[in-house]
Amino acid sequence: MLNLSKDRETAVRDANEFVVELRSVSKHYGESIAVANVSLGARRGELLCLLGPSGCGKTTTLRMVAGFVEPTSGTVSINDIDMTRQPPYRRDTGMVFQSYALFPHMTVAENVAFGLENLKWARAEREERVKEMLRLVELPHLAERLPGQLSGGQQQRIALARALAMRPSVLLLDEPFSNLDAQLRVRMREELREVIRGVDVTTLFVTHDQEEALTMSDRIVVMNAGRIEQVGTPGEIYEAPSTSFVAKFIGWCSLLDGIVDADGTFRSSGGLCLKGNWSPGPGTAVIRPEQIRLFSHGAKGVAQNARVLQSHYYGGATRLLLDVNGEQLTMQDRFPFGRHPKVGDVLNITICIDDMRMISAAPS
Amino acid sequence: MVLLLIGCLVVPLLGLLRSSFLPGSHLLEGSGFTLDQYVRFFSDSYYTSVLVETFIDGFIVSLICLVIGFPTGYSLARLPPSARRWRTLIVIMPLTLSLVVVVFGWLIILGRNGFVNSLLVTLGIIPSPRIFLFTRPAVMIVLVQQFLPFMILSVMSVITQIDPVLEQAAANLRANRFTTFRRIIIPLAVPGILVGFNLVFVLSISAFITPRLIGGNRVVMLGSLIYERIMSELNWPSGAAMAFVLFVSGLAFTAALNAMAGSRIITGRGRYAL
Repeated sequence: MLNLSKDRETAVRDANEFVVELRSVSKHYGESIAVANVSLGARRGELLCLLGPSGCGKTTTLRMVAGFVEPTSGTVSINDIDMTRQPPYRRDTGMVFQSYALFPHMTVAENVAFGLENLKWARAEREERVKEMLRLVELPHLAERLPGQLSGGQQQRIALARALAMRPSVLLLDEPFSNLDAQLRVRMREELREVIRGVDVTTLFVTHDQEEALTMSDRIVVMNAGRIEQVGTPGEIYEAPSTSFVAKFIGWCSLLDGIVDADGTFRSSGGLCLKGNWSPGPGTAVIRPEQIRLFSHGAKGVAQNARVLQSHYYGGATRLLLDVNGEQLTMQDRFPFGRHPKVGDVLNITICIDDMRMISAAPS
Repeated sequence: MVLLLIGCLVVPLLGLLRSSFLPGSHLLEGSGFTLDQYVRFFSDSYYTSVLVETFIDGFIVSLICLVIGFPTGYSLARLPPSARRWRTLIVIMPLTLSLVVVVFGWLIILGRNGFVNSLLVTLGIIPSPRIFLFTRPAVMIVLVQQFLPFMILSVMSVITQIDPVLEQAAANLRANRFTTFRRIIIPLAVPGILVGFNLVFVLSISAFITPRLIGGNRVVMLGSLIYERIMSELNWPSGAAMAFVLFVSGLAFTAALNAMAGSRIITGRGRYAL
């Protein structure tokens, strides 16, 4: 933990590393605190995701970078220039809004050219750039349409083209997929990532969807109640959550409070016992559904009896709520057709502790 | 609804139209069909100059209302609804007063011994009271005061339809407040501006109480001329003809204005195309 913040400090000193940097930024609305002492930086070309439940301060943080919200304290810098008190139109950002915010009275081409006009680009270059951007999002044939004539997915791509046309230092995305239906969302996610990779722009991305965050980001900043819970790669966030909030928010899991004995064995307060070699002290075990398997002979681990409390069939897999020694655990597996466990069945399971995360109550 | 419209508007209007073709200069008696009234109107430079003057006055009053009413309507629209409610009430309040009461109020304020004069004399800006009444600016000021709420409300209603996020998007695209105003707000507010402009214009050119009481005999607008012709001289055919000239030309003017601005909205074209 200490080591990590030390690393961050050295990183802060390296001037060019962060394209966008927030230092101890807070935002208060009267008595309520939207963002509390947040420090973070997006590295050049990185896709950094702000992830958290609604009301966690992620959107406020993004809007402070864009300049729509002025921080109560702290500084926001872009390319090492302090932008804290600068109006939005002096900041080198391009933003895709949740509602896309295309100008309804302008054609697609005029929308994309709007930023370039304000930047005083020459007409010929402007037109060239607009064509280039429309090719990038693969909608060159829609240049003369009005936004009202486009589908949601097309509007989003135009919004992206408009934001990227100015070659901003930072691309800001505010829940860009929330207005699309589920199937389109997944497709647009992949498309957007391709486009962003292609132009190699530093991106700050706000979402409440952990799947979006895991699949798209280079690093994820998990926020809760205005604070940063954890910063890390998608792998780190999922496999090694540093708080029980992160563990619960990212992916499905069961959290067991308990104590690790001197010999490294975890005993949950409910009475479940797991043999391992964790460091002693109070802790919370993070058990992912895929870490619980049906016991088969020759497998590692100890067999335990589990009674099925709930059974949900998801097609590709079945999710079970199990009672194991008085603790409720969630398990997910694929069962052969016709042999789905029913409520009340007793299964023989084993809990795979190899890569199990133990969150220590007190840092050791 | 349709019957009411026909009974109360179309039928009297047709009656008026008919009487404007009557010969002579008296009440609605008599028969015959003649264009005399119209010929007399258009061949007399006094009448045509009053008509032109009325239109210019109406246009200027509408412009002033727009200049004052747009920022007011805009800021009202951007307030949270709870804060907007009682401010809107204040805007509407003057409309609840009888026009005659309002005009008499202005007579007191602008009169020789009125508020404005005594203030200016006390402050030493002018040595002795001046005559503000019976001047064109005085008439226009009072007309602006009367019709401003229509402009404010029209602008407000259209601005509330414009998503504030569009302004943020413009700011993000490097547009300062002026550019945002010119290229985003104004074009999107055109329908409301037109409604407000038309309302104020039509109300102004047809006004007769204000020009008669504030303008007296020196500032003549067509409305007061018609009133005089019908109510004092009881010359219905002439008054009816004037009313129809005002009606048709006012209609033509607003229609032309709307067509001009409307074509821009429909095509949505900005300053250039690719």
